[in-house]
Amino acid sequence: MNNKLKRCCFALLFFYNTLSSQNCNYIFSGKIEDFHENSVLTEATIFIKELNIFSIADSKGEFTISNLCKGIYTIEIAHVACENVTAKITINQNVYKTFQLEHHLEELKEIVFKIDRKTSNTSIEQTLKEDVIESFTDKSLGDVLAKVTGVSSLSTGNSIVKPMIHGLHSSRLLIVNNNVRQFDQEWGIEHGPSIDINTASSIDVIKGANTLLYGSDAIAGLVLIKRGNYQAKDSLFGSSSSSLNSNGRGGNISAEVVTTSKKGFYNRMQVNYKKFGDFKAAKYNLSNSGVKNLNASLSFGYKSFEKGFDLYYSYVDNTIGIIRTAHVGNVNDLIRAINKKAPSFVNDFSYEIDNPRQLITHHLAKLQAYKRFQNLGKLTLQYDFQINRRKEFDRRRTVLRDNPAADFRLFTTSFQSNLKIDALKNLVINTGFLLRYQQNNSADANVTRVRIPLIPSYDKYETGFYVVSNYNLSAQTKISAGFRYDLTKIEAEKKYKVFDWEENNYDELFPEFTVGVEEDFEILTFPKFNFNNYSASFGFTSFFNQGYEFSFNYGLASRTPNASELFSNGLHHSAARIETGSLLLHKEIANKFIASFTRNHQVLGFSISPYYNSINNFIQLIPAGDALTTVRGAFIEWKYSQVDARIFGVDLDVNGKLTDKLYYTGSLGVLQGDNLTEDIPLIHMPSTNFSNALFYTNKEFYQLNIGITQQTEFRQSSFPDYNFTTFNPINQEDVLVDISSTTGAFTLFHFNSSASFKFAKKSSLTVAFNIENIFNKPYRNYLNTLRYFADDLGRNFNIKLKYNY
Amino acid sequence: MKSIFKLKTMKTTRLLAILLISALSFTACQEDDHNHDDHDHEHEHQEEINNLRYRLTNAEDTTDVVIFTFTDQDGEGGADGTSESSGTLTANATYTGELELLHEDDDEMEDIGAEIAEEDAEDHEIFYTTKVAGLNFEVVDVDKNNDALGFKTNVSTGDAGIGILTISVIHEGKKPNNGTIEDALSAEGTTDIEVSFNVTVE
Repeated sequence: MNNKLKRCCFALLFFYNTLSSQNCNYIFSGKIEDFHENSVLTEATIFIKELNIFSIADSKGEFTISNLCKGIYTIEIAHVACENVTAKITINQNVYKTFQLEHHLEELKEIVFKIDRKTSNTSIEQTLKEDVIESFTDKSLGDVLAKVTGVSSLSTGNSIVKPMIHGLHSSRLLIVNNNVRQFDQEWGIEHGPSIDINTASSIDVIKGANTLLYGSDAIAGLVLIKRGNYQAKDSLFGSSSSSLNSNGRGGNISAEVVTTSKKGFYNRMQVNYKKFGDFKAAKYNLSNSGVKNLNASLSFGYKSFEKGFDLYYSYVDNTIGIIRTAHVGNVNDLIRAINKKAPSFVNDFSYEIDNPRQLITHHLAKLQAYKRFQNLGKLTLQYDFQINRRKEFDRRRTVLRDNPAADFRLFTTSFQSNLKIDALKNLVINTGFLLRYQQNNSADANVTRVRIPLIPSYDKYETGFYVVSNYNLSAQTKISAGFRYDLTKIEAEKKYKVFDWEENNYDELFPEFTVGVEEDFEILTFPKFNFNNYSASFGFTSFFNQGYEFSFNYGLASRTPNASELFSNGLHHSAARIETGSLLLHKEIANKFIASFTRNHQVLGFSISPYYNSINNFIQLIPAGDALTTVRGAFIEWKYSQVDARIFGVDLDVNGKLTDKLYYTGSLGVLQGDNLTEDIPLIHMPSTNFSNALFYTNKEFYQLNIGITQQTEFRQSSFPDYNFTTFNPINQEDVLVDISSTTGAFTLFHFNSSASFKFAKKSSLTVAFNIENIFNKPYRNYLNTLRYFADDLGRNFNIKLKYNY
Repeated sequence: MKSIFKLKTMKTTRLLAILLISALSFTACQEDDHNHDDHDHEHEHQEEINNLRYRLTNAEDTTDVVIFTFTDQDGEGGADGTSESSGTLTANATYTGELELLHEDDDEMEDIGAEIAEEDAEDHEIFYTTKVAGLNFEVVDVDKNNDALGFKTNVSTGDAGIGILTISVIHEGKKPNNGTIEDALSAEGTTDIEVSFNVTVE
């Protein structure tokens, strides 16, 4: 075969007719074939660039796109085993074309769809691709997600980073890891998601409650962590990468090996090890902020058009240090720390991770299988389980140093099905059910030496059912609608202090929860709750010429209070607080409206996305306003309570092409959160932030990429005042406890550069050099719970090497 | 057709990558899921001190005893703890003071103070602060490094007066220090105990 043909690898057949009219009823159809064998290629994607719409070839290799207007369109055709094909077609009548794609048996590369395939046809989402994820290999999921406009991080120090979509976090944000909904005690602010981002090939952020496939409680939205598809061919490939950082004097090494076979089998092994010592703020060491982390994942599967299966297992092992000065004994220690403006304890650099620290392991396993039925669709069944073990060690007396103050084991297992009915023209229906069992096992006082664990042991049963349908009104306009019902049952076994039980009136409200046994001022209770959750969604998307697109989504989400909100009971040393749950909580119900007006265009593209989220019975954790007296001194009680709330704002993204090689991207996020019940702002809402980036890229010269980014966050001026005064018994005076004030505005600059060198036909080396916080700016972030104690990270020089083979 | 299992076609780098993955995965699997009951049951040390007793005995009259007691029977959270004193201190007298830190519940009593004095004294220091004129506390016991500890005190009273006495136990504070809590807490120290009593000298 000659080379020219190889490169072009398509042949086009045009059928012309000069009939013309202005209507939009033209049909573009055709067939995708293999160049060599003339066998049909199923599942090829046919994408019309100008309209941002795509169709997938059926089992006969045929596709149809209807309701097209007259015009010239750019068509991109992709298939897992082939190189993409681009062609221009003129539509002025119904057009039928046969495309021939070439299988590149020699080219051994992992293929990820180049086309933005939306999770749902009408959802408002943003995708982080592999190249972005790769620049975060030694960071956390929360860090990479913060790249998306409208997503912020709620963090505890620099290693525990929780993603936050439009001001909401934890249980309101569903993280779906490889099609398994992640359950890793996500309820606590100081619990980061136990996910290794090196397992992901793309991450989708869906900013609405619109994807009902994964749950009815996505009040904030969803994060979908996905892996790529592989070509069905005999090959072996992989990559090794390493990252080194000046800040923390650490980095990671990771390796990945993939084998695939022509029959459709694949096998992937991946491992990542990360280690950092004490990180450094601009002016001082953050003693005991080191982190250690070992992750591995394995997958094995078979994929064909008709049937397939995927077996996946991943393991995450984290040891996370929390800066030593963040452990305070009582309110007066906290005031001392706040007034000091810098940590009182700074040690020399060390890799050692002492108490306070967290040890977390997470196992996740999944078996998924699918089969296609002719004239019906695709049935997928999935079984999965997860075990999350979390141990938290506080600074305690020497004899208790090795006793975790909290030790939880959360086991979750689920079975779910999805039937995708796609045999009908223009209509795709997804329907399925879910069965889930979850058990939390909290170690008792024998292990923790804490009389009542922060979270009790409990069993939780969930069952759900959903129907989601997508309908193409025309080639340019799609609508979707869905409904979901979930039933949740929680049965806990929890000790209460008799005083608390009676003070909250639980003895009269819930006498059925106890058997009346009291011992040591404690009462054993068995709280049981049932929750019925209904959720619904509606979506609309319309595409226009020149890449313009308009989408509107409405989502009704309802969320069962989580174990922390219902049952929390205990002491957090990082903020001298006692956290108290409430058995009186109802489910949280949100109505979220989000629209987006987008132009997908390389020269000048943008996206404006306003949203409004109205939440009834919004559960918040706020200071109760007074201090509790204990033998340790005074503590602040933080209580879970419910208010009506609204959160609204706008996300703005702009991208432009200044010259052939010079590009610009900018983003702006503005948000306002209000507690309508008390007519005050909501606590912990992200402030207005914007960023600008300029980058030079030269594909011909070693894929050179050089960029500079500016990132600004304003001071959050809209915050609730929960300050109070307490008596300082040392100085014998009343003092103000300022736990509410927000931190100042800051602007950071970052530099990044990378280049790629080809060695042999199949090997390449990518080298990257980056500087974060170039000017070593000291700053604190309102959304970092350790902001009272120390600054955020200072400058970091980073070198990354990635070797593909 | 190339077979994926033909080792000779594999490059050394790929082999190394596979070996690295196997080695690291093996290490990962070795970590047991610790049993919830794998801790030592012989000495069930309690975290919580729910009873603090400070006993002052007049050096010249052993029947003149004043006991300051802080109790929080249901521990942290729940009902607030309560402070009380058994009487008033005699003016212009000297007392010997002894502090006890206890965990007491229905079926056991643990002397946490004694345990700290024996095993953990270097990490602890007890401070007595008051603004009552003439009321002075002198720590007389020391840890292994000869630094002040504070379970044993000599107390002298001045003229009659009323005020507050605060007893603080500082954990991992700066030792030695200049005798003030501020200095003890100036490094990585934290307050483990802070209780206050009304004190009357007459």
